[in-house]
Amino acid sequence: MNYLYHLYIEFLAKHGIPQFWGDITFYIIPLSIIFCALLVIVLALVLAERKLLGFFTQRKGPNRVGLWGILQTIADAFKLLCKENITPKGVNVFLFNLAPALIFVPVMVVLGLIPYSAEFTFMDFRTNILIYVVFAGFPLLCILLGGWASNNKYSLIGAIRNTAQVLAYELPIAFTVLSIIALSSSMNLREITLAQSSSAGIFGWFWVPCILGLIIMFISMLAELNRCPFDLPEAESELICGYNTEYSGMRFAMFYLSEYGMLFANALFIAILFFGGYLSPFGKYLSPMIFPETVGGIMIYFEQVCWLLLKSFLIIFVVIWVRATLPRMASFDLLKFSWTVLLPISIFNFLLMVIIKYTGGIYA
Amino acid sequence: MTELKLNLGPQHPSTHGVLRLILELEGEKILSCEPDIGYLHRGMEKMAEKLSYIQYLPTVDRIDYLAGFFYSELFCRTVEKALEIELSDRVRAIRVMMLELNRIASHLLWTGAFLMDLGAVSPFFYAFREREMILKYFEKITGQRMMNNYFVFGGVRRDVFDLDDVDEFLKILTPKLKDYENLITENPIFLQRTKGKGVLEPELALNNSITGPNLRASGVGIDFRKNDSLYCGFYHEPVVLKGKDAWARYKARIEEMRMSGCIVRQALEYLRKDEPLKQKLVNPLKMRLPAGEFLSEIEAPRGLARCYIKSIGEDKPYRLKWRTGSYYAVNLLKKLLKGAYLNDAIAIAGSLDIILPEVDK
Amino acid sequence: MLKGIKYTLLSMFTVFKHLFKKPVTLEYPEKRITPPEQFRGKPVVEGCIKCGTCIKVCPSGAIKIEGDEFKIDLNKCIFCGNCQYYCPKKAIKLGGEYELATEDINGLELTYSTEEGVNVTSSVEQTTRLAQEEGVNVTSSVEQTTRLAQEGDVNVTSSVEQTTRLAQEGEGE
Repeated sequence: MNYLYHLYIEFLAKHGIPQFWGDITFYIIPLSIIFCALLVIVLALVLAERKLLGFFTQRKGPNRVGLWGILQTIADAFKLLCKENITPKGVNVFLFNLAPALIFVPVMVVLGLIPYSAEFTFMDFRTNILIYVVFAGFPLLCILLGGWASNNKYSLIGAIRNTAQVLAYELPIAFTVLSIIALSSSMNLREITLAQSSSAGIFGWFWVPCILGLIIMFISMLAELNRCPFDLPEAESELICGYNTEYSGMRFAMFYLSEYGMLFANALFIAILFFGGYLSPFGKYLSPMIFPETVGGIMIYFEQVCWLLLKSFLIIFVVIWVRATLPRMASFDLLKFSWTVLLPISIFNFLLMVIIKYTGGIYA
Repeated sequence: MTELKLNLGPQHPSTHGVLRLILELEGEKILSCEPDIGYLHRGMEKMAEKLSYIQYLPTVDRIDYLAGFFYSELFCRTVEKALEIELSDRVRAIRVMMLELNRIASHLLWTGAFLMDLGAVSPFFYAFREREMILKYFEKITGQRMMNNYFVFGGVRRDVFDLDDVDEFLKILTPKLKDYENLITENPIFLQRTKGKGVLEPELALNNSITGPNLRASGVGIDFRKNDSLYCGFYHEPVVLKGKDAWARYKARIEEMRMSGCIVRQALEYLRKDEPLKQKLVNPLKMRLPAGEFLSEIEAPRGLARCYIKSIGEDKPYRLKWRTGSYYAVNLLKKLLKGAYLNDAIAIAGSLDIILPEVDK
Repeated sequence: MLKGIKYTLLSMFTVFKHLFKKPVTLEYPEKRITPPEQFRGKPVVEGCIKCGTCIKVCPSGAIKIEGDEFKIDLNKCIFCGNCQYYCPKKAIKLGGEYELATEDINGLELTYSTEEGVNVTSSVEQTTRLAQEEGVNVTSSVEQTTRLAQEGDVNVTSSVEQTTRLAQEGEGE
């Protein structure tokens, strides 16, 4: 980041613009990078899910639009753009339109917090992780807004149920994050990544001591995202319609795409907390061996981004795999599962991590 | 909370058909349920009074589109009873093989649809893939995949051939059923959704004329194939479970598929003997049923099915009546859904295996 | 609890196995299946003696014999095969053509000739054959009759009229 910042200031200085303007406008560059990457990745994720679900059930996914169906999501988004934006009678127009607009805010903020490599970290505060946890629960607010503003009792019931579900699964996430903080003694995502580099290579990452935490985090992530097997608010549209009943056209697309954006962000988060972030599993990086001396130094940073993305895509694969397998959980069982099973285990896990930290070993 | 009247409308994302349930809810609990049927009424019974017997035969397949062979066989059986025709052994073996293959296909589709209701998307496609093999075989022999029109009064339209296809299907049936057991039967989420839900006591079932796998999963071992002259030599014992809930009904159907596989294997062995096909067919243009009332029954995949024909000596029936299994299951919904939660309503309604064309005829 | 975990993992593994099997999708319309021999598709009539058996066994009344013309209304036909099974001369056959959707509702009334010595029987088939001989790419009989009529600069009213006219202009059959 610093490097990029200095480049930018030098570039502006050459053209005679004072540093003051550079300071203010600098953050447009990383913002636009994240935004473009997010759009591409979300579109690719929607298609990947449909194709993977097809392969799990012995059929091909969409393969008519573009080669291997690559343009399918673009066609779907275009179709949704062309639909009429209906605003039902009696809704609170401001909040009704605000909810889908706000839903992309947490996605963008969260993507800025993540250390993509040792150099590409956009927001490097000392307490990164706290901001992450707060913003991961933000879509809940937008869903409540949308559900209430729809002037439809079924949407309200759906939104309230969703709230109960998300709140129930926030606590296990909080305790699991606490246990990781205990292990790495830092609240900064970049330092957590660095704390996982040790001589044991792949077994020095935090998934080995904290395997319970990994499972709890994975299940809670599915619940936060309203994904199968916890997708009752979405799929109950046969009985009581979910929060996005009254949304049509592009507004529906915003809710839908933001879900995949949060999926990507959560997968990155798990990769950083448990699987070593941008660290290579071999301990050393491959680019100095492939590229010549000078370029190799810089290519390491791109390689780190590749490792991080690879790990998060593997996690997304497992998420889609779970979707193809398990049926839906009913709402009361959902809440019971979280409060009676996940919460005690996550507290126990936290204590276990504290003990492991104090007994030393490679995780000290 | 005040009472809410909710329409589980005629259009469902799940594949029950056009059934409308008018539910009265208080919060999450269902207070009362009123089924509203008739969206698929085609006038099958009235139509029979205008068409001759041979003209009515192709339309009988459409009473239950998933079990077309059963109703075709039922109609042929009633007419054969009236005309006192006896079937030869080979014809019986062909009919039994086709019927049991159709039963497997029907139960497979039910499994896929039930799990789709509950949210799992893969078993639906796996079930259809197995079903495809059966339907391909039907197409080879009879000419069409579903509305086959294969049975005639006195026999079948043509002899079977290519029996190796059935053999291949039977070879993959057992491992695939094991796959379903691994995937679904003990899955903790599936258990949570179906165990203890929709408990059907044996007295309630018998008082409401429930038959078929629904009854056998409640512990009552009534199976109408036992005393059926068509199944003589091919059938042994009914599948009885004691669970009484939706899970037991699911398990009963899986076990029935296994048993049907055994019956098909037995029929196949008989058919491989390759005797010539001897059948006494009726001339459709000169066919007249003697005056009187004739009744016969068969164990269809969804329960007992009966056909009643009243004839006054013409070439058309005077009155025809069908008794189908799903009709009573819809009536049972009124009692089973009372006091259940809304989430479970779909699981319970799905586990009873209701097909609307059977209900509305 | 442990049993739950074991069965969840088992079900996930069962689904995972399917990732490595070949997809069973058939990419229609690039790849089509040829239906088997017994398939009941579009009826074709040749060598009818006008006995009327098929009319008596048809459930929906789709068959009509008027003079020398044998008419089948595909709107009413349910493809049951009764006519094929009970025809004494095996004149009517339900063949293997199943792509019968058309934009012209009159195109669904098939007319066959019961005269002796006439080879090609259906108006639709005749139009197709003529169009293929003329070297025009055929997609639907209606389209093609329209195209032929436009190329021949003739006013189009119904496909039957046109076929007759084309036959007279063409090979005179």
